[in-house]
Amino acid sequence: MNWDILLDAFTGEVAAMPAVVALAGEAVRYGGEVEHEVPSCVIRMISDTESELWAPVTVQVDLFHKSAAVVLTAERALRRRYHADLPIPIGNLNAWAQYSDGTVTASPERDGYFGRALRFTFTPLRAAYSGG
Amino acid sequence: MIRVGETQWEGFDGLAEDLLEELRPEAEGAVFAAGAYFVSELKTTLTGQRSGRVYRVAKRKTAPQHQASREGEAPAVLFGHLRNSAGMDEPKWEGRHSVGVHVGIGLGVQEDSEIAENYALRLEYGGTDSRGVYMAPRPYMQPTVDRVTPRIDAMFAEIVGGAR
Repeated sequence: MNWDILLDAFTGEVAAMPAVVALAGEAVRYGGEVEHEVPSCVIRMISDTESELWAPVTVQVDLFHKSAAVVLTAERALRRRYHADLPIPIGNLNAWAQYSDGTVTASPERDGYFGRALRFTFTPLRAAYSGG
Repeated sequence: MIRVGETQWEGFDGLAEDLLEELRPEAEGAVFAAGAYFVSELKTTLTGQRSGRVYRVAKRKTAPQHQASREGEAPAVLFGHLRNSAGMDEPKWEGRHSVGVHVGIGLGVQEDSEIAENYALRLEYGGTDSRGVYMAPRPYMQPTVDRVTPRIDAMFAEIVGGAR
């Protein structure tokens, strides 16, 4: 089981990314029953399929900010980092990382701010294949 | 949107025409069965007790109570619009070698474009409703995809194995 290690490492990395810091400051958190904030970056696990051989994990990152440019800069940085052809190191794990999906969750004309949800699928490699 | 709208099998390249003719009904059947399986599993995901907020569905004191879903859980059924809108269409051929079927929201007994485009998307990913209230995601499609993919892969593998 690697999803907990992966999620911790992923959250730590995302919270330290300059584009995410510019968007949310310290308001980077796991999803939960707390009040919705703008700006913020919310990370939540959508699924972990332990029954599958490689145990892929889908993680959703929600970005909220009044400026579209700030949201898009953060999205671009996240997609550049977490969509790769080869496994990438995340914390102490090596994992396949792919951008799998995204959608608009808030729009300025209705809500007064922008919202984007991005989904990434991570497949941590077994220790035997991590080269360590 | 999640790209699960289609179950498709391409396994005919390089086969003789008479063998192709023989295999096409089997392939179409496998795709149909995979689609039907996906729809039934999607409806299963959209069924059952949830653990979120409890409230009355109308203002009067005798109105029945409804327990909504908690953040991260699949949506609770209130009127069943979303679940009834899950469905599939007929298998369609693309060229001679590829057959597919669309499955998802907006193809069921209740066809409603508003549900398909807004409500379903907002439940899966989260989003703000018409009052501007933010609702956290209640993913139902991604967990279903994760659950059914190994079985659907096996269904197609059986057909490919049978063709050898």
